[in-house]
Amino acid sequence: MTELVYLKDSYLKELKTKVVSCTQKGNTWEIVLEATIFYPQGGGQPADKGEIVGPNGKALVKHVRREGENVVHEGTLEGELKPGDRVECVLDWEERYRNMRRHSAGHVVHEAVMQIASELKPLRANHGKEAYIEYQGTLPIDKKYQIEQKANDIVNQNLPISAEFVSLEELQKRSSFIPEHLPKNKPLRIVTIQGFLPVPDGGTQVKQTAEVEPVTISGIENELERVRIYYVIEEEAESKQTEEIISASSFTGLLLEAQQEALSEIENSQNPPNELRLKFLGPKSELTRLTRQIRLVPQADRQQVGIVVNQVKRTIEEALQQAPSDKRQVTSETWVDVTMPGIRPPEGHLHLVTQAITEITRIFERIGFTRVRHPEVDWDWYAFTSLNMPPNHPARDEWETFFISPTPGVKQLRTPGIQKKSIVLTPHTSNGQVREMEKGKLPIRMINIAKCYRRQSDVSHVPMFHQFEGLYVDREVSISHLKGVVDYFVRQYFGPKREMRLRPFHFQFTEPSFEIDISCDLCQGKGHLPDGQSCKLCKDGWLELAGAGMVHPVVLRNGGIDPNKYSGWAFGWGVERVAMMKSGTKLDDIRLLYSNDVRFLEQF
Amino acid sequence: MREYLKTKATPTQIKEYLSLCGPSVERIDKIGKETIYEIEVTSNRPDSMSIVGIAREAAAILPHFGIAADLLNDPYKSKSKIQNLKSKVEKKLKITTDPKLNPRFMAVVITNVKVGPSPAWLRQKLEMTGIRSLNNVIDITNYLMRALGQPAHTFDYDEVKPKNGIPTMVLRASKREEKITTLDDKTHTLPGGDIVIEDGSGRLIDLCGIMGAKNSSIKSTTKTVVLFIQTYNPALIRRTLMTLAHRTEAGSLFEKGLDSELVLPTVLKGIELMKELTGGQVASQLYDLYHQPYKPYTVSVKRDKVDSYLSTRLSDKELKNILKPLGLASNITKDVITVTVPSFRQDITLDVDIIEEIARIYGYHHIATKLPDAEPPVVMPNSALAWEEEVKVRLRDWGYTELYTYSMISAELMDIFALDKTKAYKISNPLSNEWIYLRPSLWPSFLSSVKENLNYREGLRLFELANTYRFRPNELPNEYPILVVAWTGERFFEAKGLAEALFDLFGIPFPDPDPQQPLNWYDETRRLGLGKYGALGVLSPNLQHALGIKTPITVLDLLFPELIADRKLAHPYQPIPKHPPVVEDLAFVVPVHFQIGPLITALRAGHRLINTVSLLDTYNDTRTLRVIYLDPQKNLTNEDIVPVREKLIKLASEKFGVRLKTA
Repeated sequence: MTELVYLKDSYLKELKTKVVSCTQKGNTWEIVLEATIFYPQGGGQPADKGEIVGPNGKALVKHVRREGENVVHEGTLEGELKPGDRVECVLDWEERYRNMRRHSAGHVVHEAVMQIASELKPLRANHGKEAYIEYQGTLPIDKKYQIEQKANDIVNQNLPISAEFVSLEELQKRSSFIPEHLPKNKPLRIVTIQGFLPVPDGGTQVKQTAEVEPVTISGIENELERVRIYYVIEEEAESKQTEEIISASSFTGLLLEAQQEALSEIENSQNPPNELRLKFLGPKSELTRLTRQIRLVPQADRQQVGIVVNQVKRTIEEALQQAPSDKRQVTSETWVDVTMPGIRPPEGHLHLVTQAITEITRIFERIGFTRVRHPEVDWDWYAFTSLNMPPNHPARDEWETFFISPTPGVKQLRTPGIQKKSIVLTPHTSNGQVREMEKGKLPIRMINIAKCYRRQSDVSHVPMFHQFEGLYVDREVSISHLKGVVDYFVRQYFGPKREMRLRPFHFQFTEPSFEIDISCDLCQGKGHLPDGQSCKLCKDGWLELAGAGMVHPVVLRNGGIDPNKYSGWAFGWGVERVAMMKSGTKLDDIRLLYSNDVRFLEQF
Repeated sequence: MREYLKTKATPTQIKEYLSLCGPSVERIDKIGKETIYEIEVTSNRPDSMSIVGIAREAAAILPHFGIAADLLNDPYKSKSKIQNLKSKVEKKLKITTDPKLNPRFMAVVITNVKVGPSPAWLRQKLEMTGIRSLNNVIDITNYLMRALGQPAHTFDYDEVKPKNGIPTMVLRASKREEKITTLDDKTHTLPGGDIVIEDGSGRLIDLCGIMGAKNSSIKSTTKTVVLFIQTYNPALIRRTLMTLAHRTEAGSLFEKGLDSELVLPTVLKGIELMKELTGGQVASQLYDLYHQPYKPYTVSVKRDKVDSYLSTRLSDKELKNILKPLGLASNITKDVITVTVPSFRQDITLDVDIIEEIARIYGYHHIATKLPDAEPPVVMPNSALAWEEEVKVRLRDWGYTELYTYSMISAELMDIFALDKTKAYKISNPLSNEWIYLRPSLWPSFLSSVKENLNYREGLRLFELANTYRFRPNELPNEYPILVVAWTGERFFEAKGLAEALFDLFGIPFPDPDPQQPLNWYDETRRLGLGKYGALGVLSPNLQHALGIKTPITVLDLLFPELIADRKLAHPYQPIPKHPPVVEDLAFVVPVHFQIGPLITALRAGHRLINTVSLLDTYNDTRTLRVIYLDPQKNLTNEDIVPVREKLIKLASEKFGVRLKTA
């Protein structure tokens, strides 16, 4: 029966003892000693390595295992070792210490996991190079940051880790979980991180959690009802050399430098993100190195600096996640057919009329005209009578107007000056003129855009359409200003080379009245095409656009404005008409605009 | 036209320059040697609706383009001819009229008329201007209308029946339901108040200003005619035209108001042509009942105002040169221009009318083009318009396509949606059965358009943001904008998600469902009331069936003014958390038909450290909620979280009866 010295003192690096047996099996020698400091593989901890030096020979121990009550050291032998030889055992301490730290780190991680997901039941652990703890249950993978934080909290608190032997009965009282198949008749060794519940354990542990050094949770893997939590410790414990105080600001500077370096490499590197993650967030990263030095920052500033550390970690992690998932050289799995169609954003469409209204509104806004809204369904007074068109006036014939049936039993309403007699669907936006004047604010620069209605429906007419009405009232308003504003609109909307002209016309509510023409873009206003054919789009190089005029004195008076002090102009144009003229859509039936056929609407 | 206009201008020049400064010459056609002008004359200028009227305009306009032009044979200068009219008075007429209906009544009897075909020149002139040649007598009357713009009529003298032995014409207002058969064989039942002429036997022989009666018309055997030229009260002519829906060219001239001073020159020209073309002789006195002869009046305009309109100052001479050829005698001082208005230009009544004459002849093309240099008004923009634009653009970018449906809907649609017709505006003169009522709701027109598109595309995402017309007794409708969005298929959560995004946009908390809200148009099991803001859900199967739609439709309906009214103006800044949040997923086992919304709301409000609670996953009876804990002051530790988590779990189990899922 080998005495297990490592259980009592895990820090013992050398031991003098005697050889019990030394036998050859194939190329390997198997040596049993009276006592040993070599840890045999088990409980997830790898076996120790080292040398056994006797008077006549030296064994290189490559593996150690338990066999019954004995510990068997396997290895090569130079010279000979005989039972009874006095020998000296020397551990490969560096590796052993790393294994110890990794083992203790496992316990620390376990305690962290228990804080976050106490329902998990430990199944097994590996504290070797690919270290993990496996539990029954599942855990979201993004918990790793929390676990890591908790684990490092334990590390930073530098808690003592102690071992003792107890009976199974006592263990059952004290421990949070009892593995199956524990021997009942022997004292059991338990390990306790101070402040946590004891855990049965037969391995070697460090004495203080700080020795573990920062732990990184490298991943969480869920499979069926099992979850593995992988962790990594610092491979090389930093030698605690000269430690200087670092100011918070210079520490922050170092952090940001590390961040900058990481971001720039992530941006430019061809390496896969996992590799980059290890490089910039892994145990050997500059960031981790810096993190370990937080304790060199004055206590008062540590929290502040900790926040920055977290921010830097997050920033780097985000950059990694946004980095293309695989930048490695093209293999058959990563090959992409770049000729496949792209993934488009959702595509919606605004109606042509909305598009035109927005554009018209913007153009007039730039010269101080504000869009307003007046009723689409209005008293006859505003639509006609106030515009110098009393009932039965012949000029009304030009507006094929829809009227609203009077409500049965309702008397005509009269307010002074306004006959609230009949309601019409406004056949033009000019009803906005007197309404705008009634607001009582001068000067007026108005654009009224609204639905209009006329009793007409054929290839070039729809019963509902839109107009935009411009109204300018101020002192000394001139025909020049009308020309200026119309010219501005025409060039902004149709293009800088388009020209406009006024021709005499007649409207009851303007005097003088004009028709506005714009130069044809097909023949450049020449009236004939380069081949000498006359232009089919226009008349002698001009296209009729709209009506306009200087506001009639009667209309000004109806709006409460003195025509001897103020003058103004107004125009009313069809939105659909200007939109059609601009877009060159060449609609052969304007009713298509209101057919609401998506096959049409999707074209714009 | 060259009969009345002396100029070297080419037809193309006439077309271009007249269009720029006067009546719009729409096109010119050449037929043989003749040029035919098609001209649009505005309704206020009946004086230009004749050859001589156009010639007068041309004579005024062309000189300003450097082309000499003179008006020839001005009818207003033909009065002197009356002295030369010799007649043997043997036929008489007894005439009664009413100056309120008929400002001027002229007639003359011409005998020994030989009715026959017109000479070639007259036939050609009429036919080229769109009038069919009938016989020389009728052609003369039509020629007078074309040349001078004054319609003329002729009766068969023998059909004007006598009373007390004298052929009698009584011009009067018609009585209700009187009947008259006009030249074109149509019998009209008169509404009453129309201008008619009754003869001595009590027959109606003329529907004045519109068309003569069949009974007194010229026949091939007619020997004696009454040449008859009048002016009428234009409003009465118009009323008859409108009520009988019987338009004639003469009627269209009379309804605009003709110049009584032109009646006599027209009569004289008519007598001249009758003598020449029918061999007829004047056989009566020249009857002329003219109650109130025209007295020229003056209109003045301040020169400052003219200067302001034109952005320039014209010299006295320039002004005279503009006004005189138009027939406008002027008196020009430093400050004022006073114009004497001739009878044929009674459209000129105001200072601005004179400005128009000056400006157009001066040439609108000569007026400078410049933007207003005055200070623009300070106007607060209408935020509703800006919001409409914003929402439309968002919807487009989110993949929705906009419709524009007609504001008018059919009675049938009103019925399908059970909309109250007594509380809707009805069009009294509809164009079609499709467009009868102003829509009180956007649904009927919108869903009809959605239906039309079902065959064209799968997965439609359509919207409209437009006015509905809410009924207000004795008032204009309340024009009330509504946003409706529709999806094909059951897209309840897309509709809800869109609503959530829009409420966020307006900064309005998502409303709690109101169990009282009527939601009849939605499927009972898939609908959600949004209180005063509207509702969403899958279209009710009944309505879907009534509309003839075969697939389910999901609809979101939002009352736009409510959103605008409650929009959050300020958008306070939320500090960016300095400390990392703790993210935790909690899985709960829920009973059947469990509503998760209230649980999320309650958990969210469960503790100050809870930043957000969101639904991460739904699987069978498990609902996984993601809880984000955040403390703006510090990093959270397990000790901070544990009690909060316990509180949440307790809340969930005690208030909602759901338990945390355990492995």
